[in-house]
Amino acid sequence: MNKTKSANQPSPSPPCLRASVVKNGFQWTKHSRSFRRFRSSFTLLVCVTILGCQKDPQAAIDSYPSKTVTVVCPWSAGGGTDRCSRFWAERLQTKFENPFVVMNRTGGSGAIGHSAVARAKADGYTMGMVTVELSMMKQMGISDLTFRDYECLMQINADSAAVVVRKDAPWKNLQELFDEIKSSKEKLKMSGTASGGIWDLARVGMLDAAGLDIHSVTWVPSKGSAPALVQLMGEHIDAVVVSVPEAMPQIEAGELRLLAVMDDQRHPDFPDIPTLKEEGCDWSAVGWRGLALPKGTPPEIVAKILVQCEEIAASEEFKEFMGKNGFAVVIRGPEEFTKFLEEQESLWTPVIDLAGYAQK
Amino acid sequence: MFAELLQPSVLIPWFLAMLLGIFVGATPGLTATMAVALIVPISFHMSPMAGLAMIIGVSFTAIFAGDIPATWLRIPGTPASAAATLDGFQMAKKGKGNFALGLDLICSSIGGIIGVATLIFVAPQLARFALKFGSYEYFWLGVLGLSMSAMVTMGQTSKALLAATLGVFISTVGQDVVSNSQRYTFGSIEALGGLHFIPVMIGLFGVAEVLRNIGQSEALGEPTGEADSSSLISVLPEVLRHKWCVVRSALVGTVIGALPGAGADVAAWGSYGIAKSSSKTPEEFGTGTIEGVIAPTSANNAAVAGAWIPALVFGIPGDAVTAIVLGVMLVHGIKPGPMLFEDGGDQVRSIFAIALVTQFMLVPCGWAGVKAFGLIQKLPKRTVLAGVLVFSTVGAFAINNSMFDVYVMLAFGLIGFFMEACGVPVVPMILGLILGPLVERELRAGLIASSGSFEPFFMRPISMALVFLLFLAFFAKPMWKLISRRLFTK
Amino acid sequence: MNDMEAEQQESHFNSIGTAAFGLFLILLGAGIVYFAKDIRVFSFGNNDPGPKAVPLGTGVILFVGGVLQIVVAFAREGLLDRLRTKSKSEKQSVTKLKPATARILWMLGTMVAYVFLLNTIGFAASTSLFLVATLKLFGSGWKEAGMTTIVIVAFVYLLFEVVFKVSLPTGSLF
Repeated sequence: MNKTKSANQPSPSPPCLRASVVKNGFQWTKHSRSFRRFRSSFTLLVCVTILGCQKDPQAAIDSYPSKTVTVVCPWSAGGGTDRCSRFWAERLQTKFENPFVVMNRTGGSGAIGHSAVARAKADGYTMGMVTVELSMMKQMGISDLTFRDYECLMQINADSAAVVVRKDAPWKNLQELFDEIKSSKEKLKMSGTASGGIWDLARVGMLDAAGLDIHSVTWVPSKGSAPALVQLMGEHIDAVVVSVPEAMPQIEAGELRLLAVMDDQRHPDFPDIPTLKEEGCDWSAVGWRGLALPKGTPPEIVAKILVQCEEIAASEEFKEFMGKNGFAVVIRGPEEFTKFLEEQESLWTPVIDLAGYAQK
Repeated sequence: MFAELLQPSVLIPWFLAMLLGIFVGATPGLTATMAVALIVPISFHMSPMAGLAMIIGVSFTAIFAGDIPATWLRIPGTPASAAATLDGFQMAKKGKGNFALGLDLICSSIGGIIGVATLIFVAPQLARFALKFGSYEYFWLGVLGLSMSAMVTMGQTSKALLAATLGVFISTVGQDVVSNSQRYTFGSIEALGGLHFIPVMIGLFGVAEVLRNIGQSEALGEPTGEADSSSLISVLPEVLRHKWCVVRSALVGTVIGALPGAGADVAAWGSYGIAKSSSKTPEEFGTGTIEGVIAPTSANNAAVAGAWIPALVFGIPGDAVTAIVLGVMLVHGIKPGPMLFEDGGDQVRSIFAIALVTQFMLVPCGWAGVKAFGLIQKLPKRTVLAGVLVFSTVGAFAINNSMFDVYVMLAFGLIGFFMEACGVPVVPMILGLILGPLVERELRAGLIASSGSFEPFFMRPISMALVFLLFLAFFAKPMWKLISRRLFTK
Repeated sequence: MNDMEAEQQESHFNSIGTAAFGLFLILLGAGIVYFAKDIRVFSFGNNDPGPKAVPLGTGVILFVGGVLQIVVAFAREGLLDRLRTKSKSEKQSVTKLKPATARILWMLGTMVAYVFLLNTIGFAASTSLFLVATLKLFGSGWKEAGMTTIVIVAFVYLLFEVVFKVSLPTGSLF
């Protein structure tokens, strides 16, 4: 909620301040008849309050969570990230027996929601679902946030990007598509996101790794993966790059066909579809999601949340939920997650440079 | 199957969920998406049939519910309800609010039935047709919609067009939809998300209306007005009299709703424009005509059913609500696809039955909402005005939990008041705001896809048809006048 | 012909509005065109007219449209005549307008203060203050103002925070 103060600024912790106000009011009514008694008790109260505040951090950690925790989702209600956020909020609520509420803060390619988490008070009462866009928004000049502005808690999911074509497309595999791109006079059209969106960058990375000119394909910008899939089915474009679950219903219905997944391993639901690496193209791109807290959250609180998150991640319900939604489960703890995010940053930065979006 | 649906264990939660949907949809700041998202976890504790009934029920209530505050207070609950601030609101001002909402409700229900029937019988064909729409076609559809701004406000064409242009400009603020550049954000992260539609609309209509009331009326302590005692029966003859308007608007709404790139808002305005241009008394539109109430409301509820067509045939949701409903269906093991309509089995048939029965249940639920909301007319005017301001503020905030949206609401309240004081119509600005991004995105995407050539914008069959429609919209009447005058003089 | 006369009379009434709107558009259009310099353009040779095209286009249209509106206000709607006649009957109209205008200005001031307070002292406190102030401004008695305030604040709080779990502004002070 707090938008004006930066996370580093020392601010009185809320339970303590609120308590003092209540006490103050109480004292006032009780002793208002005698000004002297009021003054002395007020002095006492101030002392107690200051002492209380100094002692407070430990108390706040011990009593955590003692009020509603907000889980910020940087994407709109109804989408995949929102469904994940709501699942985690609901599970954490049961585990902690304390309200966890999802707050959707959308806009700016996720920048608004991500910055709402990074700039929140680092008291453990604001956490957020961070997504793959965090690995590229600084380089793109959309915001100055990186994963270093968070206490990265746990990665929960990674969906590989995939090259998808119509069922009747002439290309049987990725190599044939690449050959067509090389030889065809008219440029092929691909889509999936806006220009400079994540799947456009994944496309750039793939073409570059395959040794093709990144401009040898026309990227037709779209509002998101769903409109891009419609354009593909309507034969307005030739191929799309989206994450596997985004195209799952159409693939299962037999309208669309997977050519390859951009991942290190094959997708468990499509064991016959090769990875890019198998096709001789060293590139992988995944859309990941993870939980994070503002930088500077007391480590004890982080540890408290982490314990519960680990239990949830290991639970059957979580696997069932992810399975139903078609999301791939990838769990990484804090250190591994941070390391993964470093890798992601060094993966995307050159691609952003190459695509010409780098902030100068 | 109907017997299974009409058991109390299904019917009661269904009815309650729909009442909730009406309530949420009628409260500024609470959206249909929120109502559906709230119902989803509850529905998983019910039998699959009751669960689906609750969710489908809620998803169909919200658009009508948005018309209630639009008619009484001039605060549209959803973008698709903005058209109700024209004739519906004027009718309520004349003391016929219940009559307007009765009409609205019955036509919503009929529109919904027509939409669902279309869904059941021709969904796969309509979905294939919708696929033919590429960037070029969407561009013209957007332009056609923008041209409505000249049409909905006759007599002030130059001001209306300037207001529409202003709306288009406002829609460009924030992150560019094509290449992610920042436009007019002045370094603010909050502004990256752009000026949200709902806060702008609450400001332009709701807050501006309050300001105008304060400026005009001296007797703020009096009740706003006695609500008329029109019943649902009393509107039926009017609905019958305009049956073709209802059917035409509903069909237009279904088709536009079935296009994944357009939604209930475009449908509502499109059919309003069509109703106006084919009316015998177009000059009365905007002053509280019956057709002006009927057309948009028949279309926008039909468009909700229309939006299900691509969702069920291809698994592609057109908006957030449909996305949630689709997600729930997937969980219940219903896989969207063209085959669904051929051999979907009992489950699919029961979804259709639910959708159909929902349209009938909308009438009692909606009427309860209208009556409950009508009670505020009995409060002193100042209480209502103060309440509207608080709800406007809280509503603008709640849309994205952002104070930025509250500032936007306040600023546009001022702009709306200023524009109305200058005699500039506000509605074209809304059209510009809705359609600006569509027109810009599709124009640019189209030019990128065609390597800079304008040819496909004119030469593809559907583009050509749309250009022809656009031409008709502007020149049909004057030309007809010219021809008939020639004939008469001869 | 009759139509046109009627229109002219009505537009005569609107001439000040037309001019004011024109001035607003001129300023806005100029601002739009000037600040378009801050928009980053990526060029890939892909025939995209670019992110500047539409805002610049609307800016130019608004600017030109604004100039035309002012021309119309003077030439066709008789703004000059209006100003002349107005200066004669000025006293009358001023006294007529004043209480309403003052109320609107007060209302706006209260709204701005409310929005500012929302950010600092949170929903419940600022809304209570705002409602009492507004209702007093509208001429309620203290009792009515107090009751209404309590009912609205409690209703909104229960509805948003408790039932729908939508957060309301908390303010930075607490």
